[in-house]
Amino acid sequence: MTSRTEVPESGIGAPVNRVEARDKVTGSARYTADVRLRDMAHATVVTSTISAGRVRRIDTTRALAAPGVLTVITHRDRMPWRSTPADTGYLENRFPLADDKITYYGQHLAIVVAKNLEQSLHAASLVDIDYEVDASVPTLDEAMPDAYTANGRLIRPPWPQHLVLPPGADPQAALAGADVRTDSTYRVPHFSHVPLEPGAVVAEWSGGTLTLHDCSQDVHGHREVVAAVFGLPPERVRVLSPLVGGAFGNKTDVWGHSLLAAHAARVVRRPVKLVLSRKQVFTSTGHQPPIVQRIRLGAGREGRLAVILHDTVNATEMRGDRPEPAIISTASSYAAPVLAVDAKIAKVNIGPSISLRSPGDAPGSFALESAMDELSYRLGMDPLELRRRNHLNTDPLTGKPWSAKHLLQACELGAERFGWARRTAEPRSMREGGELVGYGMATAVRGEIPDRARAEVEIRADGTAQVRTATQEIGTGALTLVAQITAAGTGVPLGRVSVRAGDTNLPRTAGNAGSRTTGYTGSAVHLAAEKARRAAVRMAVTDPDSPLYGLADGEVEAADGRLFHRDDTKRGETYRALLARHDGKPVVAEASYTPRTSHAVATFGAHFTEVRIDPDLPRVRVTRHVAVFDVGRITNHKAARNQAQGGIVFGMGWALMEKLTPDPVSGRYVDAALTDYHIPVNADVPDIEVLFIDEPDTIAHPHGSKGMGEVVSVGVAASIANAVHHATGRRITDLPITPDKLVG
Amino acid sequence: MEPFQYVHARSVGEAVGLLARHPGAEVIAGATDLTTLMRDGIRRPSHLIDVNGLALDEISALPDGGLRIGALCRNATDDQRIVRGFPALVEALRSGASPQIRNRATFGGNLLQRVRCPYYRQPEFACNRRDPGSGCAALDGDSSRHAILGTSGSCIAVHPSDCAVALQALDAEVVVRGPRGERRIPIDAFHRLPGRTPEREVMLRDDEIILAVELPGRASSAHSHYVKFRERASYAFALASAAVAVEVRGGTVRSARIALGGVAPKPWRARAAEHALLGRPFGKDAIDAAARAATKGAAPRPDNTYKVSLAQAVVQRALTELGGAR
Amino acid sequence: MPDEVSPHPSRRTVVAGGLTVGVAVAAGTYLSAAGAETASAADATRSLSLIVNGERLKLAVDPRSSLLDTLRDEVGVTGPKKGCNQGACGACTVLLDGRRVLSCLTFAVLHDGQEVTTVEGLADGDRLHPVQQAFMDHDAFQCGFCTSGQIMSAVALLEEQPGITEDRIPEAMSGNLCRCAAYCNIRDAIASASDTMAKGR
Repeated sequence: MTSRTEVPESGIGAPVNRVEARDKVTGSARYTADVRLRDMAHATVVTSTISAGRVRRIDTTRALAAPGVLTVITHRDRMPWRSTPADTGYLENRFPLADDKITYYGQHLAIVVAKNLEQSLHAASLVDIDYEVDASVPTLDEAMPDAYTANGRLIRPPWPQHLVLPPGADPQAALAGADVRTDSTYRVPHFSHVPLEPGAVVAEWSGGTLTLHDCSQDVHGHREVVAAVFGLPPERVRVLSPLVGGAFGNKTDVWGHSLLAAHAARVVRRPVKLVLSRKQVFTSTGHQPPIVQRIRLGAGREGRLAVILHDTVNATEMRGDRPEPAIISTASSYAAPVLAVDAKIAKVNIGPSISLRSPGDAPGSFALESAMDELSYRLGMDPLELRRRNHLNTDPLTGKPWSAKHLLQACELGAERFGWARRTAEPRSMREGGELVGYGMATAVRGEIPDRARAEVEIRADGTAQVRTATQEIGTGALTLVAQITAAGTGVPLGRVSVRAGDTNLPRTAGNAGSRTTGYTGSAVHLAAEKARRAAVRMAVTDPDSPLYGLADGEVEAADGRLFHRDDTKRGETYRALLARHDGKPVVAEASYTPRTSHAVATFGAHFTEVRIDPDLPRVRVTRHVAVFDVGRITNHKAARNQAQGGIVFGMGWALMEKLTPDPVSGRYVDAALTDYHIPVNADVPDIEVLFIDEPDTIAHPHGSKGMGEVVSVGVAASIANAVHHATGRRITDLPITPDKLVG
Repeated sequence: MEPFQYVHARSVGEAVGLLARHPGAEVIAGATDLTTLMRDGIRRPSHLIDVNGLALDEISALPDGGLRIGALCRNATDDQRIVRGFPALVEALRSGASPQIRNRATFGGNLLQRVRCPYYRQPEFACNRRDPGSGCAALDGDSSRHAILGTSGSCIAVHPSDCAVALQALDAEVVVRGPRGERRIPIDAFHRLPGRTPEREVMLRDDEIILAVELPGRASSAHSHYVKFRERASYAFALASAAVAVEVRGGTVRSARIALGGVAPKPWRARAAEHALLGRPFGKDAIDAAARAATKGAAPRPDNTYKVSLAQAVVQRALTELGGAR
Repeated sequence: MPDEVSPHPSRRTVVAGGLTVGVAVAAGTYLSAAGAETASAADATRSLSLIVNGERLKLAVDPRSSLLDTLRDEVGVTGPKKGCNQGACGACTVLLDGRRVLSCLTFAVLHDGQEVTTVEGLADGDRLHPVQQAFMDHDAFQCGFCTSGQIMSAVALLEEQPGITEDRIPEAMSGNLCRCAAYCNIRDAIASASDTMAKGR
């Protein structure tokens, strides 16, 4: 099997421009905060400035008297919520303004609505709150002694929090008996998603129906929660997600500000727009919690693992239990005969956490892939060779073979492109121009999270096609993906395919999270498009007026908006001609997709990083990065390469600069601002070479493609940290690797 | 944001008069700092006196070979007289903020920008600089980016300017005007150390405005250099920076001015480092000695001791590159 | 607008929420600039004249309103985005009298009589500005939220430094964050637009 380097010029794989590209370069692309409705009022949420305690008194007199103010709502005067968080699947275990209790900094305490934005912001500053302050638990370090196993009442993780394989094995004994051992503890801080678009919502009531324009990764999921909270049947709530300005997980679930805006719109009987401030984004739409991970590896001298022990503790909010699944892929990574993983949580006064791009696997791979690098040094073995020797062909977690796995090939290809052979193993052994040079590598695995998907494809008498599915466009290229698959399946040219999406009036499909769009929604669209084409073919071969009359269905193919004989392409007719004879009615096909489960399905990758570090002014510069991904067939090489590069830079941010710091006294975030929470800028980013194995995985999904938005970030931090170790001899185990950790 | 009266001043005299009449008034020009301070409720001016258009944006030559830079000159300036005669200043300006911000930010405003200490910038924290007498939350908090020099028990914030660090090394003077006329303030005296009154940040009186910054014609100025070190490649405040201006004659250092940024509550003049260079050959030994001396008197906190090394390293780098550039 | 696709692919519009390549269901209820409620309800407005994308406008604004909010809420030009409102992301970048600035970091009242160009004012009818075309062709965005700012910054950069060498683009574009991190493509797009513009001169 060889890697395909050629990129198709048309059809699946073609590097076509995004279907919404023109809108995005002309300013006509519409995002939630761009929605403007008649008589729309502007809301501002007032948030707590303490992290533990209660509201003793909240005085809204001055705010209500301020110019332009329409209402101020607090816990004392909100309307009753009609359900409970547990019953609705609401992420935070408390509805907004439920009571006077405060368990985290930035908790919503009031919503102010005024005629214009400045009035709303001004009035919000006039809400006077008297707090009763309790002692808070500001950091994970303080909470660690009380770590415990989540009890499963508040959460239902789809992954085991405690696991020993094989059952009954004695991991401690296996570790004690190993020739070579490592034992290290790795720390990751609070990370924030930081989409450039802050959470925004526009709520409008008409009669008893609520329309919510909300930046959402899952409109149907949002609708379920919102309808339950307001005691409405789902059909009385419509959620529209305009283009989403980045999400990375923080727009998968409904947050309190959306409920508050809908509530306020009902009170003031006008549409209400609410856009979170950047500071509020850090506390109102989740984060990845800090995690402490201990990894112990035991191996034989020949480099085969004997045992992996992976124990994690992550911070969780006071009101809920949310273990971060950093151990989720540990069992699926390497061939260790004995494995033990354990996840615990510890209560901290922080807001609710939520999935952040590759939840579990991003932090988990930092620890495991760093530990493997450490082991390679203990063994005196090339880190790539260590991975080869512990390669897995079957997923120990499920006992099933993978539908496709080309990880070794990805490693070989990446190593060759990168020039891994030039690496001299000794730390600090490579220098150039006064700088230390380091090469590091890591591999990546990301298991798929099954979901169901639905889509509708329509071939029309005017020769166009339309695909309808409630997917959202968060920047991953979902609209282009479904358009390309529709074009390929129907034979209608891409330029004549329209897309409708982001609306609960459309067929429910997988949320744009967990790398599910390509595999699941893509498959539903693929099936619907095939079905529509086959229906049209049937129509033609049974129509005496069609040039295709009498042919077997399988002899007819479609391209360029036309059906034709497979062996005599001149014999055929356009969809237009065919449908004109059938009253001009469109052919409509709907398909739903549920994946088969005979195999384990995952995506894989290999990263190779070069860093250069000035020993006196030690900022880690990533100067080269080569990555190879095994994600099935690529639907659009242009968008895929872009997404992969972006995911790698996302991982660079975690590795080198991102961190949300709780003040050790108050638990407030010190750096909840983009001036302080640094993400990479253009000048931080080197040229990044991305290669794809590009082999269809039709066991996983009928069109052979799998999602890749997450695996591209997995392993990046370890690859960089391993390169830093190679360059400097320092093993940095707590992210981010900022200059202070390398000085001296 | 609190409502305010907006007034567009038609002359410097009118602006000064308005400031004198309205104690709550503030001058606005580039607006790049004041807008966010007002949005966050840190500054609440009763009046905003708009001085844009007051013809204070010119750069003119001084008889001694120096330059007078108008207070409203934007930080994006690429005036060749600065580029050639005062390279450290241009390097500092170009390392600051972003092109968009430099197009608006003015020289006067740059000198008056407020500290970036997160405890100052977020009103829910105690801060003596923002609310005198309220305490300093940074002392018990995260002080990893705070000052190691010139701090007091009431404030440990660092001054954020790059430009002002270069101006220190170039021995600039700030020309100001108030109701009683013009006066000149040496740059080293312009910014104050916090002491017990961190809220008094500069020597500018409430009823004065900055007219210009003057750079004297010094032999060392054309032989000056700025090095900035930060956490990411661009668009970040300095963890440590150094501006150096050295006059070398016959291979020997005749005069030297060295200033540090990112490590003190004001642009920090490293006099001990200057002394370590004077009269010595401008080579590695003197540079090493100067770098070591640059942090004399440093009192780092447990979480920012790394800044001592960084400060020494930026001085060493700046001097070395300056030497190499000869 | 009917729920249909223009036959010319390059003219196709995609509207999300409902995202439609063609049109949104709720489109009729979205307001144009003319229909928006102005700040007349505010306590103290100030009259102001701005030339936005070549059109002279008389506005009554709250003095507290940033140039960004004035453009978005009063003028109805929503290309410039509010990513941080603190001058740290660049999504609000516009040209002010031809120079790139952050519209969130200034008050509208400071700019009486000045000329503002947003991304909406770049194309010449149907003909895109070379930077816009290059951003499309090089896929220089993912979510697109930072794109208006990136494009305005790039347009200004190529005015500031015509023929800029590729290695100088990253620093010159570091005032515009892109969380999706399409940075490599942004650089390629700008270099390519620079070539196109050089050929056109």
